[in-house]
Amino acid sequence: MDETSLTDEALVEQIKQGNIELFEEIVARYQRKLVNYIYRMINDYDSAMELCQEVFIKVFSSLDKYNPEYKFTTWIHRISSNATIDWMRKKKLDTYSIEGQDDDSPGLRAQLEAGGLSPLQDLEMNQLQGRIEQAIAELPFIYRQLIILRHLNELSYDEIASAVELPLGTVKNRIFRGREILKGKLSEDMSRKGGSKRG
Amino acid sequence: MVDSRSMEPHQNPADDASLSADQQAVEIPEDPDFDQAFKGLPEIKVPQSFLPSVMFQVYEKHAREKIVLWQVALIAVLLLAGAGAFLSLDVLAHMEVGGHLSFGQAFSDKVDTVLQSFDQVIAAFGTLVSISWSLAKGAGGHLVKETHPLVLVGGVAVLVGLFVAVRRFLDR
Repeated sequence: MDETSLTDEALVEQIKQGNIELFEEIVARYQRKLVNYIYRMINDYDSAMELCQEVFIKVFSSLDKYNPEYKFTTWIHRISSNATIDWMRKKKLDTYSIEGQDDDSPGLRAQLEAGGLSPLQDLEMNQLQGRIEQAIAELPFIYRQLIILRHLNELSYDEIASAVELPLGTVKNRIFRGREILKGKLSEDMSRKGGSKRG
Repeated sequence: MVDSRSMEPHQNPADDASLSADQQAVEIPEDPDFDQAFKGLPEIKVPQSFLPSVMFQVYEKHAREKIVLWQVALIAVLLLAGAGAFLSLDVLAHMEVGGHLSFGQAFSDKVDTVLQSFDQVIAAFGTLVSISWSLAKGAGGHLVKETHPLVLVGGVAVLVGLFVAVRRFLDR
């Protein structure tokens, strides 16, 4: 059987019937998205890995409770989101501060994939990406979570609304506001850097 | 579904103001430039050991969840039988070496030997603890007598500080 051709929901059905080795395919499909989501929410690489493992174990343990009427991707993101919130509450990280961190954070830099850019382009790209990363990390929790789900994990608005259990309108509104805050932060940052260069 | 807690720590009051509008289906324009900027963000790599590690835990959890009472009982009986067989062979060997006439006699002798060695271990451990305590008590007493009280208080404060620092470090 080629498990890669099966939908998430079909895989879950098979796993429920006892083919637990198929859970490997679920992990393979979602590990990248969940690790990236969790890392960007808590900004701690080791904790993100640990938490992501816990999320997968929780997903496996809760498969019996999964209702196939809902999309699996929403369900797994909901578990991930709840686990992240619990972790942040435990660590008293309601809002995330990036004070004391710069664009060259080794935890992140160590994980970057090498691109085929010239050294100058690479530097400029790194600076821009660093600024975006920083601006995302500075966003209040409620916007950051939705922006990451939408723009990094590429969930639809409906899927996000279902994953975070908020009305669709609230989700759209917050994503819109989150984007505006991000753009504001980035342009502020650009003008500050431009000003300091001229000065 | 898993759970339905509210996931809104740090609710922004400004956001509440928008909630009335939220109830309507707000259409927000897509922003291709914004999407493009996000697509360029570096991806956090997942180590190759991640998947096997998760699957190991999954199999372990599955095995623990699936085991039923009769299997536990069967394992217990098998272990008990194994232990019994091992003990019998051990006693038989002891019987041959010690020249005992009956199995019961050899068994009783074997139990006495084991208990004696156990007593020796306990006694040795007790002696070690007693020596350590005497040394610590002697050194502590000497220190208290010879040292100025302020230095002692300072020492205690340093120890408490170290304890707090280590705890904070571990709690990070």
